[in-house]
Amino acid sequence: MILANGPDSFIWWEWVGDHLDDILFRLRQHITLTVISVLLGVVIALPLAIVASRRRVLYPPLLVVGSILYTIPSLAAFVLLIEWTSRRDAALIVLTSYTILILVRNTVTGLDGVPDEIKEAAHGMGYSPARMLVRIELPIALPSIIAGVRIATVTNVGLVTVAALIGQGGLGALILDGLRRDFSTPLMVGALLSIALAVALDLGLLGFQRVVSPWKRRGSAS
Amino acid sequence: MRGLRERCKPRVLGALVLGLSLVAAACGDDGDDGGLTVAAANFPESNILAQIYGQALEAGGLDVSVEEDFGTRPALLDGLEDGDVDLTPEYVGALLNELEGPDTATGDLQESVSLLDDALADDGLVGFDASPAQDVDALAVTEATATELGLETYSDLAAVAGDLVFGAPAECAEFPACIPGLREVYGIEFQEHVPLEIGPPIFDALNNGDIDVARVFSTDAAIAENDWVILEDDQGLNPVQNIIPVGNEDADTQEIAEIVNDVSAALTTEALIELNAAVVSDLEDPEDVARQWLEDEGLI
Amino acid sequence: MSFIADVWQWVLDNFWGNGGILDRSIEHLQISGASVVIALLIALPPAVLLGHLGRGGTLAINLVNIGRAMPSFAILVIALRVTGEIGVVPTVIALVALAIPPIFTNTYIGLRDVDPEIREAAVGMGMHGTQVLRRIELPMAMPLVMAGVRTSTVQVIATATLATLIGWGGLGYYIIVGLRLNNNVQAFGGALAVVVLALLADLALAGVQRLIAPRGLQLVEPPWAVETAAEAEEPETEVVPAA
Repeated sequence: MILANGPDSFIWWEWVGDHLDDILFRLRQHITLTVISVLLGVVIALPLAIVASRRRVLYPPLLVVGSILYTIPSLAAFVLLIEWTSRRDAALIVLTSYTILILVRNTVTGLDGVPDEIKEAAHGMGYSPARMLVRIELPIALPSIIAGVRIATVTNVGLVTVAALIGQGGLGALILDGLRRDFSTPLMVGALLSIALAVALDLGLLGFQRVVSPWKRRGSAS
Repeated sequence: MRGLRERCKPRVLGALVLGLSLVAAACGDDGDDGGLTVAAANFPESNILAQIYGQALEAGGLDVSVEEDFGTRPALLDGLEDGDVDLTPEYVGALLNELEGPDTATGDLQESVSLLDDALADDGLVGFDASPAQDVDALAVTEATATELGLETYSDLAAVAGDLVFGAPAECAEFPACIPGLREVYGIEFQEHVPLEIGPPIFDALNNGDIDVARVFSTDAAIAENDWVILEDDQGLNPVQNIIPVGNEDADTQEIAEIVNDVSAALTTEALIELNAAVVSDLEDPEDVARQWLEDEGLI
Repeated sequence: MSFIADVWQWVLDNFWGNGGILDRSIEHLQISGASVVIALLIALPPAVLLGHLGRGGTLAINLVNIGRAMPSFAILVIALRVTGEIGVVPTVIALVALAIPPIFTNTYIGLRDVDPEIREAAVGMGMHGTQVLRRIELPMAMPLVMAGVRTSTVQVIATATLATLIGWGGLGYYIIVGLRLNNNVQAFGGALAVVVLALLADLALAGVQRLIAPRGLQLVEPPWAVETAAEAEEPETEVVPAA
């Protein structure tokens, strides 16, 4: 395989070497769209979730709307939106809204998991509700929130590939190039990199989660 | 809880800052740095053409960046309007139909170009001179089929089409110059239309015998590679598809027009076929292929 | 609002008849259903076995990650090239590949996370391995398994739209043609039809889930929430007793 490496190989390494710049450019585009949509999702989802966890009446309807929206296929959602906005914004809206759905649910679950005794103790120590939220509830909910960020990130890495197929760049462009030229190298590089990116971001966030919540290790949590 | 707060707060902040700076750094790339951006649609021929025009402009002393595989036609039009793209290679008929509706372009180059110029002007865009080089929609059959059925022209198809399966992109069913036009102008009624993308899916299907007639682009490298026969559009159903570079106001200068028009004038359909073959069959890079052609033509 | 009115008119005009919305919806459901059934046949046996033994957790998590990040269109075209066929065969291959990860992972997690005390009690009552699996583990894992099936089904229905590019019909036709010919009404109408189909399939499966779930074990969370269980690595099992 190494000896006979050439244009017809599964991956032609020489081509990869010659095109590292292009590949890195596409990878960066892919990361950008993923990261922006996840960050936007976090910024929008956190306040929503905090409100929903305080005003419980709001949570069930939010969940129902969320599960219906989540059923909408990404390509269809994209098509539904381009009547009203540019293609780039449509892609961003779709990616961000999937993130929001996952994050709201995980944040509420996390906030619900804060033991009442701790809240009462903090209350007794004179903590204001805002201070309690920032100093006690959110840190305790953090593992659950980050778990949501992980799912959203991995999902978005895959979805960005689809968005790319409708003209938004990213690793999908490499895949398209491979398809158009019947050339397996860029196709494989694009597909494998998007999988590797998902795994890498997921492991990175897992590491982050362990660092910020060292008391919550696998196996010791329950 | 104090221990927890001290441990995680700076890290959370640090990660947020890292994330935001990643975004900022990546966003910085999209900014307009005063140079000219020549962008291509996401298929090989467009990439080659963008490289040709881009490198010629660069050789003419302009600050140019070429972006291959920018996206689909609508994405490029959006890009031209908001300045992410300054110049892009287009096709007279395809672009006119995109802007003014699918049955606007005709087989008459001058008429189509003047309609296109009006449509572009409405959007604040400008079309440069159309090149003699064309990449038209075409129908291909295998050599065996052509010999067996005696096919040379679209008109020859009418009598035998009832037994033939037609492979073409899904939109052909409703695109005026495709199935509806074949029916009205030539009386061609295929036995069946199988929706297939132009490219490897349609090429494989034609060679396998899953389809008998394939819709292709006349400059596709696969045609020569497989010895397919291109049928002649003897009644002139297909609109003209001459190459035409299109720009926004940043590209609308005398200097740019001169360079771009010289390149367009030198470009021929035969050259286009060879350039495509080099990129698609021989897996060369559009950038290198374009430079070689410009040097051979003495344009740079 | 006239755009919505146009879409409604388009639906009315194109609903019945050969190659109409109804026709294409049935076509779409057939291929989606077949793909999910094949995925079940492939994914269930190993997932049940590994979940019962409590092994292969990393495999399960990675499989779902890869499944999420895998570009379906790439699988579709690779299947097309490898089989040398157009239409149904490569489409089903790609859709099955898409459907396997959620079914596999949820089934695995569902079986693995059965409360050890319940399992021990069953063994204490004299049940052997297969009996524990059949009478205890499978019924208790059923809500999660069904959640996996629902997730897969929705994704499959969504992705089947791409098959219009490789020689197969279905509802993707309207989306692709609408996008290509700048007919936003048609593209929107097609997308709407896919959404409605996905929602109906999800609802129908939720009904099935309710019918086959043992009384006392009901899943209250929507399917997208359940995936969390696979990822969070926190044993907060989503199966909660119904009130």
